Amino acid sequence: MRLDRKNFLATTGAVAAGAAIGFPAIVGAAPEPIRLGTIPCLTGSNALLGQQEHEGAALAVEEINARPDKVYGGRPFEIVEEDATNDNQSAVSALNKLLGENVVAIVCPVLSTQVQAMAPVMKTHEIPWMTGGTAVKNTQLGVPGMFRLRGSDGITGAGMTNFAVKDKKGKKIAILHASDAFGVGGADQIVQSLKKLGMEPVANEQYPKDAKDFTAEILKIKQAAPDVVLMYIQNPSDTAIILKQVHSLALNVPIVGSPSLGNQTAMEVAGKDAYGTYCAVDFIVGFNSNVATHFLTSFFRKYHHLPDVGTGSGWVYDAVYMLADTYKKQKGTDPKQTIASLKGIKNWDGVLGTFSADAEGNMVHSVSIGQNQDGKLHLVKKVSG
Amino acid sequence: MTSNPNVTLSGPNVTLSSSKGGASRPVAIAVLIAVLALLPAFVHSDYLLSLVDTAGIYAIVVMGLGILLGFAGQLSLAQAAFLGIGAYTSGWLTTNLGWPAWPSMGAAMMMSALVGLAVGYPCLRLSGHYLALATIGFGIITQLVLINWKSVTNGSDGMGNIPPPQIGSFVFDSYGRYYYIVLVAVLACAYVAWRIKTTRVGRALEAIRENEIAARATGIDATRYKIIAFVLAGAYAGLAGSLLAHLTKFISPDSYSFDQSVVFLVMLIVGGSASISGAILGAVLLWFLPEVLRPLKTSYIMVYGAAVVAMVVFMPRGLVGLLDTLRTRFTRRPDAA
Amino acid sequence: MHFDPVANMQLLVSGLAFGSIYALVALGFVLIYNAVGVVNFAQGEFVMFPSYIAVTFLLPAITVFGTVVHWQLPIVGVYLLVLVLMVGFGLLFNRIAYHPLRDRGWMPVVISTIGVSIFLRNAAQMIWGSQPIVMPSLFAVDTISVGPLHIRPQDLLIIGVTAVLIAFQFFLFERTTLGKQMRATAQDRATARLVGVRVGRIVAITFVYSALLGTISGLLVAPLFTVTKEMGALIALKAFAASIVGGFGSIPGAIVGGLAIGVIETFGGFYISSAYVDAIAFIILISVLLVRPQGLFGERVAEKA
Repeated sequence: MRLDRKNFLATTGAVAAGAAIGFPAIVGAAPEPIRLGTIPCLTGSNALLGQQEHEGAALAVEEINARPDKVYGGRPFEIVEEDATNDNQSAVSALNKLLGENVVAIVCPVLSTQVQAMAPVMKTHEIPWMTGGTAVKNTQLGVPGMFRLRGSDGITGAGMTNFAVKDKKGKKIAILHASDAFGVGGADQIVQSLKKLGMEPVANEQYPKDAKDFTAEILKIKQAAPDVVLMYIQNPSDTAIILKQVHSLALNVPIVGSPSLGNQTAMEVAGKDAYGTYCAVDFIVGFNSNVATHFLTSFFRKYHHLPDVGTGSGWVYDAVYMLADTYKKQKGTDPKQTIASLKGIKNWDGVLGTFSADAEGNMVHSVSIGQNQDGKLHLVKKVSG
Repeated sequence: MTSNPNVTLSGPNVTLSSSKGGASRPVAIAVLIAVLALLPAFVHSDYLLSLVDTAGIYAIVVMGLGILLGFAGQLSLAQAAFLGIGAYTSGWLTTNLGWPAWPSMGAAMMMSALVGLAVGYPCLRLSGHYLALATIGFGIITQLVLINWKSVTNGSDGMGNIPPPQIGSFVFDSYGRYYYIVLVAVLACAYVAWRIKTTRVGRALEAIRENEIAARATGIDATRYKIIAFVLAGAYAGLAGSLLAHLTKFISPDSYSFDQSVVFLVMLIVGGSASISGAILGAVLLWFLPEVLRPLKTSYIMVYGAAVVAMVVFMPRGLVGLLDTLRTRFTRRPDAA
Repeated sequence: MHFDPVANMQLLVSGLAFGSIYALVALGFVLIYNAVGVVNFAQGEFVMFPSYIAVTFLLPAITVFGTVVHWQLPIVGVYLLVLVLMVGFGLLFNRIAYHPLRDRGWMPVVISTIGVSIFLRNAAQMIWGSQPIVMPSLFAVDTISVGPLHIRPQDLLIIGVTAVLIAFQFFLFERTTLGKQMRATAQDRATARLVGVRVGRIVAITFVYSALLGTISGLLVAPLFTVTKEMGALIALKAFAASIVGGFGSIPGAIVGGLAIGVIETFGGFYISSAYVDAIAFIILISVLLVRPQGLFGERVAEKA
């Protein structure tokens, strides 16, 4: 059985109640919980991302609160979670609600447009903002405490392009991408990387939201006769349908996808249609640190399925642990001090690799190229941005 | 704190939807405005104030839809598109041409009104479901243009750094300050709608809604009045879009979807379609409802859906009808005694 | 973009397959509209919900309410089971979303179907989670190649089943008593009641039939689409457009409208722009309406109140 959110709430609730009622009576003063805000998209069309964000945070908090010293000095984490849904206005409401709840740091939704919609409010609150949104712009919004725990679209787009051109010897590159901010932003980065190599895409197809038939797009790409097709798509269902049609319509060229193509969900849903495809990913099972191995094991034990590490649960898990380590080192949760400490992060080991903060707040500076071999992702090479 | 909106917002019902009125009406309006004006003095939470601001802005959109559907009987499922046109006009003028916010708001209103004219005119021949489809199509086309016309709209990535309005050195950059802009806009829009409803235009629109052929026979220029309704609906949504853009300072095309237009329609019908206070109440109630349900966590949108069904089933004349019934009961008792 | 006969055939097959689905769902719209004069905004959920029920019983393992179940029933049995369950669903839908509002004009019913649609989409997320689910196909191969053409057997199945259902519908309406009663109810409820038609029962049957059309569409497209809570949304919108452009209330109109939209989409996406493909479809639809405000096969009388 999966541990769902109700159980999770019940446990945290019980812990909190225990701390609030039982503990003081005996010991005198219970260590005050550290309130951590999260705003995943729990409902709407991006609910899958939100659910994974929730799972990653819940797992990290459960583990940290089980340590004898908890975060530090016996203080546990307490998650305060609000649904960002999938529209900007509700995301801002959720954020305002959280900001009234005495949280010391906030893990942002993964949708870049929501992060940008929230930015004006974020600017006025000097607390750490941990994001997994990959749009290059996210760390350039002038928000003081913004930190990105994943590779930006700039790094990923360049990594995909270089792999296609240099390793796969592609002379004619085609792009297929979604019309959301993620797909368009990624495709723009690919076009820019190609330009640096003195090239232009032979086809650059954007499909509309909720599309279910990709015959027109795939035939158009096929007519341009590319050597390599680059795909920038977040939605696993779209990915699966496209790969199926790519096979049906016999577009037989190497495919290099954005990180979501290497996600557990996308690989499961696309099945054998995804075999042989390449992707630029934050994370490949079996090629990472002990931290990663531990994360995978305990994630599976708790939820009985494998996580989408990069886009989904991994970066959130890292964010929570990074905050916990910082608070422990500081012996306090002062937001300004925490921001300063996070800016100084160097070679910190997390699930997604080794993190070092740059001036903008980017923590991840490399991606890996992986290949789906019979449903398992294998490391092809590492790329730095 | 939560009782404030309830108290104050039931006010318009008393004052605007009532045909009985009486001498106490100006007093009631004055009291209502005074209470509304003092709201930020009692409510300090940014969260609640941001909700109130957005609710007010949505109320303007829904009032516009009310003029079109409630007064004139013309269904539109493109209100979110007009909201988007207003927001992007304002955003583009302020960030690209460096216009101040106030004239941009006026321009946004004009732009949406003009598009309303351009859409309304060819749609005159359509009615009922055919009109619904044409407006859905217009909404979808508008959203695609916002996504794909990158040189102007910046595409899916959205447009940021939209400045807040200011008077001299006083910047409306907090929810509490912005509230006053929204309040003035809502009151002005409600006043205009009320004037329309109670004068010749409103009666003409009502006649068209009830029976267009008969209305034409009595010499009403139905074409002209229907276009007026389209233009007003566009102008209201354009103003609201602009207000939203300067409030959140960031806009992106995904906010102006068909689904959002559907939400506005639901707000109007749940509130009570032919009354101004109904439009305001519906917008406020349905914007606050999911927020109130937030403690239910992931199931809250499901409960919201069920609540919408329950509200149409159990409130035949919308919220306004419900309040009317309650009021008559409340006021009749002393008479009987 | 040069002219390529193979590509055109490919586009045509795919356009007709999608057009057939639009036509099937559009028939559901038209039936309900004819019987009770309202638009059902939950028609897309009539496609989505049965697909979820089908995968629940079909897959070797699936998570339902956070618990993994292993029913894995034979496919024909599952199809029948889903159809039976959806009969109940149609009756319940009629009882909750339409029946209490039957005397209140069309707008309240529209809003209540919107409410049901929001409810069902989020209920699906609560029950089955937000992971897309793969529905196994009836066919061993995904594609058969005929010369340079690549054809999906599922597409052919969709076109075939739609043709059969349309033929069945003509038979039902023209040759059976039930069909005649449904048509009588659609044309004039009061008179139908006077001549002894049990209108309430006919309305209930209409909702059930419409739910079954949605179910069949869902079972047909699920292997191509993957099962998600949004899978029905766009189909429903396009099908609504199809039923309107054909002339709301007209069965041949819905069929022609559906096929036309399917074909326009694939060709428009290929020859004009895939980014603007929905805009192309709607510009054509609106143009048709401006020339013929009552739709292609439209009713010449004013709409029902």
